[in-house]
Amino acid sequence: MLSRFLNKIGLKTIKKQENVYGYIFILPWIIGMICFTIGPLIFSFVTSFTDYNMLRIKWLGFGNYKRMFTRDPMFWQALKNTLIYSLMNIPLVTIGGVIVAIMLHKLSFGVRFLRTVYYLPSVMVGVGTYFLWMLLLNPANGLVNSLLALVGIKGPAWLTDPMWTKPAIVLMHVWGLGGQMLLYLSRLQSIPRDLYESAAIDGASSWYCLRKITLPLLTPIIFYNLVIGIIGSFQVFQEGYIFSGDGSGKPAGSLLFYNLHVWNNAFKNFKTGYANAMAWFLFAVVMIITIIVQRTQSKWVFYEGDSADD
Amino acid sequence: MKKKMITMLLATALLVPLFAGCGSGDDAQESKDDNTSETKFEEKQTEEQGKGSEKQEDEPSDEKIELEFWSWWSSEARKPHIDKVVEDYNASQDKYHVTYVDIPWGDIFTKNIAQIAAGNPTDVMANFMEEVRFRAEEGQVESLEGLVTDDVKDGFYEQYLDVCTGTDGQLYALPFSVDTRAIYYNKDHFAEAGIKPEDIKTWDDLMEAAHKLDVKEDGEYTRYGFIPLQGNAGLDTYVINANQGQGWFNEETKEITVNTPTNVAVLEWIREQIEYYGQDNYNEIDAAFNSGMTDPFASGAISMLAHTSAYTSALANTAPDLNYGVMLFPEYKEGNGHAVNGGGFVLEAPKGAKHLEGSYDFMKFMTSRETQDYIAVNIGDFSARNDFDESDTFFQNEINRDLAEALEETFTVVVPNEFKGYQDVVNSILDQGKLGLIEPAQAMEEAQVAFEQFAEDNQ
Repeated sequence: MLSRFLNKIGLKTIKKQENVYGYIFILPWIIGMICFTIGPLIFSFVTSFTDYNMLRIKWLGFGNYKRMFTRDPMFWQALKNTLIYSLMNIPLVTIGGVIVAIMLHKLSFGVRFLRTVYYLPSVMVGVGTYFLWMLLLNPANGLVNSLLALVGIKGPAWLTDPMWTKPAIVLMHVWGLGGQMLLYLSRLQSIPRDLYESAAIDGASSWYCLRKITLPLLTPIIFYNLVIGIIGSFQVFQEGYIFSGDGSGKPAGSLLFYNLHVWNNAFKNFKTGYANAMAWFLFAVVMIITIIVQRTQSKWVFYEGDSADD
Repeated sequence: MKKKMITMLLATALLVPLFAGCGSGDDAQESKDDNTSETKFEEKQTEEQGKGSEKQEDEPSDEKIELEFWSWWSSEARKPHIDKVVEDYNASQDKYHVTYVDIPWGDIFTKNIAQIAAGNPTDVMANFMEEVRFRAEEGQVESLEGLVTDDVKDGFYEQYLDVCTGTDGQLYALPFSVDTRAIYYNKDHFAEAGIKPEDIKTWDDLMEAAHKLDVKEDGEYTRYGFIPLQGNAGLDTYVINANQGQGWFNEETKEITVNTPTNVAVLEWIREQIEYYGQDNYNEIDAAFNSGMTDPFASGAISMLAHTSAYTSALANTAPDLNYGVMLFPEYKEGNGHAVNGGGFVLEAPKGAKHLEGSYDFMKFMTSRETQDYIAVNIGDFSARNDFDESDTFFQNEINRDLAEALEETFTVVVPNEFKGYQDVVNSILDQGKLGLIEPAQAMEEAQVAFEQFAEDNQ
């Protein structure tokens, strides 16, 4: 039926008809992308220049952007909180993931069991995990402070003292590094053994092998995790929303992350245009950082295929 | 070129039915309602005529008009009773059929605003009383003028109707329940320490009693008498109490009054109490409350706690055997009054509700004397109605009687639209003052400046 129709409109060769079929097959995805991704994206960009409350709209020009940079102290606080958190979280989770993966790779037994144990937190998602951590971080009888007390350290009030709220969240994320670890581990397991054997014959120490073979071959995965980690860290929201109890980012605004400030403006104060402007600024920040990381990859990321050129 | 055109044509052909499917909310709603054409016509005609009274409506048709009622009340303590009153409403008349939909707290408000923006909202929605005026100004809620009659209005305390009235003088919601704040105390602890609740008149009396109730073992507190800011009474409650009902601003004049000698003294007093127990101990109790897993008052670790009137239903679940009583929030200074902040919930018709008369009819039923009595007795909510008296079943309970007394000095703070969201800038500064990171005077001064700048930008 369709083929007859295509013949009638001049598409007679199988190749041309297959092209049409191809477009028909991907059409649901294209429609979905236009309706639910590109459309809202354009809409949010346009409304970032307006006073928009989801029901009414008024053109403001650069008013929202000007206000963001010059009149909103919470914007800077939210940006600072997010940057501090990202600077603590990204390196720790990345380095932690590599260390755990290497340790597991070296083990001669129990790898499967430990791999499952480390990966389990990544399976546990959602609000339940945050409530679990609220109990673990309880200053009086939480597990974290009880363990610290065993070595004579008086643990802080993790979620009440503004100085310690961000480290508490980073600690929680380090606990959930299993997802990254699994990627490193699978890469480690695919490194040809003969590389190590040749190095051993040449008298290379384990440390030398780690620096010259293991880590360089892990760099593509580290690079991938770094980019994903940067994007993920700037998106931090739930932790601030749940740990502060009322979404205000308390104590003392220390958990007011960028996206929480965006959310509060969009859905609590109905300053959706302003929230959209903030979202676009975040996009620009993340994009710039990602491009910088991308540009540096030629200096430190080692792709196996390139080795022949070296 | 030809290939491109054909691709475009095909895409357009497939997109047209898709967009037709996404068509206007009105059509979708109408097909969902699936009324007889007669009823649809009548409904529209009535709306166009400017919301006539119920009596002017047309003959009831065989098929009922479907309405949806949204709230977040999904707990075992509430949902069965809400279901029951909705069923009662459905049985009470032939024209409408209401379905109760409970949406999780985290989703309901965003879903509601998305529905309003799409022009296809739910018919009745529960919402915060304090923000009716804001929502009216933002165009999120339908006015009830032309529907609400004087006899219905006369059934509520004026102060609550006032909160439900927009700046344009029109009524936008009906009050469903109200709350207040009071001090809950452990009767056994009081008996043990020889304290009588009637002796606690001022804040200083409260702390004097608290220190008698404190229990220390090996230098560590095992029981605290009272810790300010815990429970559900933040710094604003103390400020409102000290200022006889006024919070961080004057609602009439819109004057910002954060940095006043009284407010500085209030924060200094609070810091004094926290320092008495020690910041570490305060943090531990704070964490215990925040985790939501343990309630130090229910477990007997705290003898007195400031909380809302809704706390009784939480205690009924967590500590049904707890022997407790309720007293008024003490006075800042003698003769100052027992003012506290309170709020409540309202029922409203979101902007664009298709069957406004039906929405109103249901709201009227839910806020009627009979339904409110059922809600009060079975859920424990206080009513905003003025026709309850002490002979009612609900007030036979001593706790409810005491809470009703607190309700008489309860102030509902309505945030003017130009101040909406001020808490975002003010609270983080005040938090630093509460935690002792900056001096109380500095906290108030900085918060005042931040609030003033915020208000200026929001004009």
